[in-house]
Amino acid sequence: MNTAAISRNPSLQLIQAQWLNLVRTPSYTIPTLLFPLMFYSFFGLLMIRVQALWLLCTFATFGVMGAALFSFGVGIATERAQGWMMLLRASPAPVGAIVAGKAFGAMLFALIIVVVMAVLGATFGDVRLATSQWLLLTGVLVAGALPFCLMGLALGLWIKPNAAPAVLNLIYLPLGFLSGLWIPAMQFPPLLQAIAEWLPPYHLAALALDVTGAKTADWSAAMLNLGAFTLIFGVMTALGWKRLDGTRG
Amino acid sequence: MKNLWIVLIVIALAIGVLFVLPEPTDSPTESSTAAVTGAAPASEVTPPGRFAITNVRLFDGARVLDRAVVVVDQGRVIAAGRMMTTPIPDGAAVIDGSGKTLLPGLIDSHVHSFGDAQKDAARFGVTTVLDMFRPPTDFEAQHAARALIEPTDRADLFSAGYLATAEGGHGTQYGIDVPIPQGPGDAQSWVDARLAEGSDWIKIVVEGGRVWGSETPTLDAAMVQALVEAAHARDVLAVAHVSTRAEAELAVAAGVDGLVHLFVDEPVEPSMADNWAERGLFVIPTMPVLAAAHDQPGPNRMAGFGALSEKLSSEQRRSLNSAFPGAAMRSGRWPGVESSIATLHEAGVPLLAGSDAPNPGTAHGLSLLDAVIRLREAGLPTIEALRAATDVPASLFPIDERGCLRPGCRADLLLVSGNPLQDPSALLAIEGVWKNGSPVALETDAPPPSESEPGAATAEAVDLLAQPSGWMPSADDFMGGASESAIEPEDRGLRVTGTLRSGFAFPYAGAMWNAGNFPMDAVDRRGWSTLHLNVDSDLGMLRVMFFSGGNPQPVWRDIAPADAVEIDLTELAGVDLSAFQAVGVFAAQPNGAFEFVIEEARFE
Repeated sequence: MNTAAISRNPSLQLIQAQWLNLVRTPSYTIPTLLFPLMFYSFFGLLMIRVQALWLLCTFATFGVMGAALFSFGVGIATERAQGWMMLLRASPAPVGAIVAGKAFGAMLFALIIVVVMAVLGATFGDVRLATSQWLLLTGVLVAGALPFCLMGLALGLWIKPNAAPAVLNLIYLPLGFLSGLWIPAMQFPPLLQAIAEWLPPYHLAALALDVTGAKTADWSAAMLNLGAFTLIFGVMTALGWKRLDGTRG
Repeated sequence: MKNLWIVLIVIALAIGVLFVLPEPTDSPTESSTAAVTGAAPASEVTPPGRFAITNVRLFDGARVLDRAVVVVDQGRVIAAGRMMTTPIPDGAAVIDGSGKTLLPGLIDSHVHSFGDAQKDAARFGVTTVLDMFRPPTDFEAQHAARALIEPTDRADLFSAGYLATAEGGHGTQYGIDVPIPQGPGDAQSWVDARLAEGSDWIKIVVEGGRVWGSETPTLDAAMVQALVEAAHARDVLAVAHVSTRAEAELAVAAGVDGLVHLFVDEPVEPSMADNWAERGLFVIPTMPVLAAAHDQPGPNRMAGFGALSEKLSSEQRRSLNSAFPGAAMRSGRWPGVESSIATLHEAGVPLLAGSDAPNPGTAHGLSLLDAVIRLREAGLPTIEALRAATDVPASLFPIDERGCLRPGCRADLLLVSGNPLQDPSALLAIEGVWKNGSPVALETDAPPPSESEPGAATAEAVDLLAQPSGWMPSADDFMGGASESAIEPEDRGLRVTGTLRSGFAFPYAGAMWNAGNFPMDAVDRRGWSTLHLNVDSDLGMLRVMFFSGGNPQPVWRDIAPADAVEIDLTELAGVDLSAFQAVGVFAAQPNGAFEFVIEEARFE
């Protein structure tokens, strides 16, 4: 591959731009990477070490969700504020490539979070999994970042740019908690348990728990839920994109 | 360009790390932490007998945890504790216990176990029974069975074996040949003989029969004391059957470890309770049998009885639906019984739940649940009532590993829906029972009683007198009594003559008609609803007995022979028409020669 090839492929260029964007904005990169790792270390490795496997699955889900939401939510909102979004839309750059670039970044973060957390769990929490399970866990969670990318994208398109970080945190933390990513949902009172079963992070965590053998999951229910939410946020994204027409955004 | 390479290298490195992350060791001696967290790669196959009940309210015999998990492996509890801190090992089948309560399999501290009693008990969550009198015929097999931790549908049985009673005393009236201790000098050899037979403790009868309206010979104080000392010399418990305060005082003074009934002639005084508490005496009040003997409402008074009653075996139905003669006359004493429970509990006397099944008005299994609920009704805190059927008997009787749900305990489990700690009647909402970690079928093998299948009419009306060969003379000499009878067909019907003599607890003599081709053969006679009977006799009362379902004890109805009678079979609870055996017409009182002629006998 050479520079000419890259220049001919706008998607690759945007992916590269995304990478540079991440490296050059440590104020975003560092917290996104460190927060879930920190939480996992506190809860999974220091406090409740016997549940290191369970909490590895749930906090990795938490981290993946965060990377996707913030990369898209805050990213898109900020770019709207900066006018970069308007420029992109005026340019012949394909819309799909913009999304793909960001999605690639979010998935790259997801990969890093899961792998580092897995190393922590294996080293300090005595988590032992077959190589196939380590790979499946990573695969499920990296792919599972996609619905949350769309969610972040939809929110980024709809929220006022300067409110984006606050609003996303207001969604991210309660959503993670209510989905049983911090405390297993089965510890919840019945009402909260019923709520948890509707939330997409609950189902992504369920898949992660399933592939590691911590708890069996109903794959069809989980896929249905994640699929439904992907569809909803897809529609919200499309509407949000259309809404930008005729605005400064 | 360079950046793209960096990205690709990062991805490759990350995936590479996944390949070197540690895998589980195959060694079975992995540390407990590793067992906790490592999910085995090939854990698709659930090891037999390994399961976890999660998210359940746990009563472990002593305390309550609200959101707990209990893990069972190879018939034992291997872990029990809070959800967050209790590991669920690889490959454990998970049973969701949300909204349910898990208890140790319960212990009935006073039964008499015959036939399928151990199965009936287990189906109702009673996984250990302490038998207070039975012949030691199968003790070797019983001891072997309870030592194993293997799947079974029977409760473990521990027993006193033969009881110690006086010649002709309480316990001798059942036709069982009880060895009688011949004076204090014989006490040690009598006790040693019981222990050699396999008795787990010694039960001594102190019963003059006074409160039950009779007079029976009973052991004297010297004999009781000698027996207690003989038992203690062999390091086994000595417990006493008593019915009156005087009998209880005699037994306690002789040094018994516990009373297997509460005395009923007067309430327990606080000073006596304090004294007992100080001595460390325990009491098995057997409230279910006392309630039946005092004409109190039975288990059917409880919400939830209806659904559970469908799981009663025919023997459970029979015993539950029979009644003590003269119970109504004694009902006035009942409040004293209940107040005694409160007095004993306040003084700190350990109380154990026991049913005395299968006495009239009780049923194996079910009545132990009733015993727990009655202790609660008499004023025990619910958790203490539950302990009375779990860790209290487990701490007093030699029944290790039972009555608890801690690591190392036997996986005898009772799962009920709801919270019996708030509402003890939730004990009746049985969701599952496990004995030695293996599930016990809750349904009875026996066919459901006829009244539940009105459509299954199979039997035609039959004139019993048209089949003279179906009749045979029958009397209590068969049960060890001294009465006798003879039959002779004649024009009017069937002439029955005989002599009624004391000897059996309820003397009877008369004639019996077998429904099958052989005596006591069980045949399906669903469809019969009425017995028409016309008997010519000078006797004021005749007793009609129905044998069915293989029950050794009949269901009976007393009739006045002056007129023709119709007995509605559907109203006779305990008669199992799907396995009908025989009907008998008997003289039951007074003693002496009698004669009657059965002129008409028809089932319709």
